[in-house]
Parts: sequence; structure tokens; C-alpha cells
Amino acid sequence: MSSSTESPAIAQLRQLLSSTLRISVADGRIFIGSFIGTDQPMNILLIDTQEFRLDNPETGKSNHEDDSVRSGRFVGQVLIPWKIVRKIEVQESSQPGRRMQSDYNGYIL
Amino acid sequence: MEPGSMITIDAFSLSDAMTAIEIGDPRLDTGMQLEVIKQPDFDPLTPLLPEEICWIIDHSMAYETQWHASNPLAHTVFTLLYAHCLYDVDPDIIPSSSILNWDSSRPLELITIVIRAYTSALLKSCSLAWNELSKGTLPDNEDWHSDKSEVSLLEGWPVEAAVARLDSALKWLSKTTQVPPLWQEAIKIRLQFRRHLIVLLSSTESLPRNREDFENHLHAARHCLSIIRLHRCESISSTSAAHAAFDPHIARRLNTFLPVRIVDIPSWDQTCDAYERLLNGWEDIDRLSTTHDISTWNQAGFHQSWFTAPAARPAYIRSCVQTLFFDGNQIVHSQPQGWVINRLFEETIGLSYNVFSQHWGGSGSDSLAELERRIIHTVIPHMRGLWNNPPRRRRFLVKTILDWHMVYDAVCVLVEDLDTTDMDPVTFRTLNQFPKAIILWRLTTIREVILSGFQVELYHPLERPFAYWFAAQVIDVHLTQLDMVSKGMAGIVPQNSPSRKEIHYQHVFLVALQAMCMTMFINLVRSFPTNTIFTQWEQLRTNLCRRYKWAFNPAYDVYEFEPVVLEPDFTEFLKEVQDAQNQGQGHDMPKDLKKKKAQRHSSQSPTEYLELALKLLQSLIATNNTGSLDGHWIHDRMQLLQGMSETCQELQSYLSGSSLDGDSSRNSLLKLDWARSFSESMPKTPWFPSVRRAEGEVAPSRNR
Repeated sequence: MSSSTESPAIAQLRQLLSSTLRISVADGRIFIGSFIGTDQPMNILLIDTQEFRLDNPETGKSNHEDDSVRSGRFVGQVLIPWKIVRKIEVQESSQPGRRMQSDYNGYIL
Repeated sequence: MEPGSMITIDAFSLSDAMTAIEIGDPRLDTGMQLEVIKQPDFDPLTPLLPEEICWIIDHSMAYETQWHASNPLAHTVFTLLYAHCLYDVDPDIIPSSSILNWDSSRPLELITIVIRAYTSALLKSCSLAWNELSKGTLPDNEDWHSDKSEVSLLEGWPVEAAVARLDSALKWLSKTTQVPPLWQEAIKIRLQFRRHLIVLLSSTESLPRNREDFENHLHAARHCLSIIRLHRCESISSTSAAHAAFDPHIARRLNTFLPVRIVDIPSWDQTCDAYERLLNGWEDIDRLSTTHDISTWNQAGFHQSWFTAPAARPAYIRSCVQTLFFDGNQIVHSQPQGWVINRLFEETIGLSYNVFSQHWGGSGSDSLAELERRIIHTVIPHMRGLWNNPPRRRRFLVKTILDWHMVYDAVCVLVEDLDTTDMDPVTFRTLNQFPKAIILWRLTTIREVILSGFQVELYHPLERPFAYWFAAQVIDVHLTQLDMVSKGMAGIVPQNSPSRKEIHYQHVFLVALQAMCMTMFINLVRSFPTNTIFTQWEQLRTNLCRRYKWAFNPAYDVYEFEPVVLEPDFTEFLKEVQDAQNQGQGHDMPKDLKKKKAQRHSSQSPTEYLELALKLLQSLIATNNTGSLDGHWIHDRMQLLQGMSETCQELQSYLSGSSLDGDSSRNSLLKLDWARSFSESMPKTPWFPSVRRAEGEVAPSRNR
């Protein structure tokens, strides 16, 4: 698909490629990785991904047992289906110190 | 976006995307929570009752045995959550609030001293076993799982520190008045058992130097285990906080790609049995550390694979035995690699390698370098390979069949090229018998490859008669070779030598084994509808060529000398199938075949073969003839003979039941059971089926 014919929304989506995304999914986990692609059903591909599980979804309490758990685990290249995505946040690549806390849910749709 | 289109970074294709783990797919996503699991919150400093501590220890022991049974750490030992927070229970840094709010029946020291010491020692024990297993002799993900999921096994921590921590815990338990005496003793015996285990794990490598200490710890560990076995910790209340100490789903939080699998916790008896097997394994290692002849090693290797179920052979012990035989530098901690060369000839034909090597300038000379290298590179992998898991062991033996031929070829070439003009006939004859030592090892290997197919349930029912027939053929050649080295003018094995004793044993044993193989061959052929093998021969032949592809290996063509046994003679097989069928239908056996068989045995019917086998086996048992083996190894060989003898008797019952004239109803009473149990119990013999009573049938009374 050439960039001259694509819609502004897709052009903006393309600009997000290689940026770091933080994706929250239905079961409470959070994935942080580099966005490398998506397709028409909005499956999201991330590489160099870390998985975090900050809270116990049932109790809402923090898991105590393991510091390594709180610091996340490396899961590599993952594909996150749109149906389980609850929230997507993007980190601005030019200013790594600042995070854009916008909810991109509506934007991508 | 159009359907099927993608937006990706440059040079990223659909195939790259296929390698991604799909989050939310239970088959790939190890972190996915399939159902709502109510895992209680775990606080490592929650005070616990002594019985709860005991329950946690027992539970973790069960998980440790499951790791030794080839399960991943993430599904077993690491489910104990204290393993992930040893720092949090350090008595020097715990928050003061934990110390103040204590309950006298739940002393905090049970956590900060006892559980901390026990968990540290458990992790260190796994680390020591991991170090042995990671030496690379046994394949990862097949015999064991190396994945530590980036969790520390206290690798850099000294064993002495783990022992000291256990000693401190034992000391505290001896002095405390806060723990009832019954539970004091129960926890103490478990800590003492762990202490002995960790010392045994750390001293296996240096066994020859500290044999006495090793045996003392082994004896003490057995004593502890016998007490622990009798005094199991009863299950605790379902609301106990101790349940929170284990999270079977911990793998989804660890750095591992393994899908979460809940490992069933074995019963207490099964756990104690698993430790017992570990201790038995150490006892074998202790004995093997003082065994300095390769025939005994070979026999021990065969025996453990014949009579111990795979589940009963911990990978750790098998790895230790392989390391003990050859640690990359020395054989059995003391001998150089070249030691196996002399032992090979000395133990097989009773002659020193020097008798052979002196004609080429002595051992280590340039002309013998290649031969000696080949012998070393065949014998060492052959021995170590015997402690592999059954399918890998069989594949390894298949590979060594060619290796043995390479050695045989090298010896033959040397003997042929030697100038024998001025050589006296006795020396000439002796030199010509040296290659036979190699043939005997190769034939043993071929026989084991064929018969071990029954152990790993490799053969289709139609292939079984061929396997027994081919084994009988190989044994026939083996018996001829034994005769050649021990009898007549050409016999070179010294009288009264251990080798001659072994050859005599082998001779009797092999005739019995051959008779049993022929019984099975004839009986199986007759059990099929007439001409089944002939009508399905095209398919069967293709299967056999694939099954015995080692026998059709073109690699043999490059060697100067032909192998003694290689390709099976299919025409001869079909002839004997026809004869077996004809005999079964009451037709006379052709006279020439009768004459041919009479060369080895006078008997021809399955019953007569069995009678012969039973008579020979019982003569070996009655005379306590175990060949050149001595000490504990006699028991192993006797077990084989007893098992074969009992199998002969069972087969006799089976044959008499299935050949009753006209009484077909009795045919179904007994049946052959080919299944090889992968539990801890094993059949009487490794190569023959068990005879079982068919279910739902009532045994006829003897006087009927």
C-alpha cells in the first residue's frame, strides 16, 4: 500500500511503527514492547516485549512473593489480538523521559 | 485497511510474524490465566504451626522427586514460593512488626531459621544435581529439564554454608521449647535427611577419595528415609496458610517459555520410593567406583536397562555413572584411556594386548595408533551409552555396531599385513584369534539391538517372528565364534582364566536364549493364519529393511574385511517360516533341515526347545555359574537366569494350553502380554512376553 493513497489514520498508525507501546490486556497483564506491525483485524505485533503483572486481578492486591515478578519477564516477540486489548499507550521516542498517557483506543479505531 | 494487508516495519514479512507468541492462546501463552484460580495471598513471614512446616517440607520433597523424574523446575521445585523470597525471611532484616506480633504456637524461627535453611539446602541440592546433569551426557529436555527460568539455585553459595545453615536449624530445634517434641523430631529428621542428601550430592565426584564418608552418609540417609517413610505428615486443614506456600501456576510468572502444566504430587510412598531409588543409585555408583574391568561395567549397564523400568532410573544417577566411567580425562577416576585396550582383550580372550602389540613395536607405536584410537573411541561411548534412556541407548548401540566393525577391520588389516615368514604356528594362530575378541563384542551388541526392540515395544506383531529368528541366527554365529576361541587347536583362551569361565557361561546361556528365541519364532508363526507372512511379505520386507537399516548400511563397503554378521537372509527366513507352518499342520520336516538343526540342537518343536532352555538355565542356577562376575554382580546375573527360567515355565504352560487337541476353549485362557510397563515393576525377562490369564476366564482345575 503506497503512502500516497492511504488514509490519514493509517498514515498516523504507520508513524507509530518502532515506537514503544504499553498494552493492557483483559486478564490484567501489561505488555511493553516495540510496535512492529499490525493487520486489518488489528492484531498487534510487538518485539523485545516484557510482560508485567502488577496486580492480582482477583484480589486487587499486589503480589508479594517475588521481586522478579514485579519487574516483569521477557517474552520476546508477541502478537496481541485486538479482542483482548483494553488499553494502548505509546511512549514518545524523541523524549524517552516523558510518557504520553493518552488512551489510543479510540484513536486507532 | 484492506483485508489481508499489513502495516509493518521495513523488511518484516508474514513469515516473521508467524514466529510470534499469540497472547491469549492457551497453547502458546504461558502467562495466560485459563480460569479464575484462587491462589491465596502469600506472605513469607506468616507464622505457621510446626505441622504446617512439616507439610511444606514433605510437599517440596515430593516436588523435588518430580524434578528428578524429568519435569521442569518451574513446575516442581519452584512452585515452593519461599524459593523466590529467601531474602525476605532473613532473620537479620525482617521488619520489627513481624517479631512483635508473634504467636507462641507459631514461632517465627520456624520460618526464619527452619524453612529458610531447608529451602536453601533444597535449592543447593538441585544446583548440585543440575551441575552433574549439565555435563552434557544426557540430553536436555529428554532426560531432564535444565531451564532454571532465571531463578537462582544458589549456584555460587558454598555447600558448607548450606550444611551450616541446616546445622543451625537443627541446633535451634534441639533447644527450643516452643515446638512440641513430636514435631521437633519430625522436622529434625527431615533436615538431617536433607543434610545427608546435600553431602552425598556434593561428594559423588570425589567418591574414590572419600569412600568411607560417602558410605556413612548413604547409610545414615537410608536410616532417615526409613523413619520419614513411617512418619508422614498428615494433611493439614484446607484453610491453613501453608497452602499459600505453593503456587502450581508459578511458571506463568517466571522467565520461561514452557506452558504451565500442573504436575501431580506423588503419594508419600511414591516420594519415598523415588528417594530410595536415588540412594540405590548411589550405592551402585559406590560399587562401580571400585570396579576396574570393562566386562563387569558392560554387564552392569545391560542389567540396569533390562531390569529397571526407565522411571526407576533417575537421570542424575545415570549421568553420575557415565561421568564415573569417563570424566573426560580418566576411566573410573584412575586409569588412562588406553587402559580399556588391554582390558578389552584380557577380559574377552584372556590374552594381554602386549602379546599382540609386540609384533608392531609395542603399545603406542605408530602402526598401532589408529587401532588404539578406534578401540578407545568405541569402548568408551559404548559403556557410557548403556546408561542412556532406552530409545537413545538402542540408537547408540546401533551406531556402535559399525564402530566395532571398524576396529575389527583395523585388527584384521594389521594381522594380514604382518610378515609371518619366520613366525611359529602357535604365534600365528594366536594373532589370528585377536580379531575374534572384537567380533564377540559386536555380536553381543547386535543381539542386544535386536532384542531391545521388544523392550521399547518397537515391533509390529508381524515383525516379531523375524526378530526372534534373526536373534537366533546371530546367536548361532556367536556360539561358533566362542567355540573358535576356546576349543580345539585354534583355542587360545587360557585354561582356568576368568575369560574361559565367562565363555563357558556365555555358551550355555546363549544356547538357552537361542532355544527360547526359536520357540517364540515357531510359536508366533503358527499363531498367524496360514501363509499370513507370505501374503504380506512385500510390505513386511519393506518394513524389515527399514527396521534393520543398520544391517544394510553401505558404509561397510569401504572396509577391507567383510563383517561377520550383517544382512539377514530373507530367503532362509521364509524357508523356516514355511517349515514352522508345515510342522504346525502335522507335515514332516524335510530331512535336510532336520539334519541342519541337529548341528546345534537335537530338539525341533517349541516344547523341546523350551525343555532344552529350561534344563540349561537350571543347570547354571544349580551350579551357581555366573561366569566371571563376582561380588554383588552375581545377584544381577542370577536374577536374569531366574527370570528366564520362570519365563520358560510360563511359556510351557502357555504352549500346553494352546495346543490341546480340539479344546479351543482353553486357547483363550492364557495370552501373551507384550506390553512393557513404564512403571517401576518390570517383567521377568526383558525380551520375552509375559504370560497372563485372559480376563474374564476361569482357570480350569488341574485334575479336570
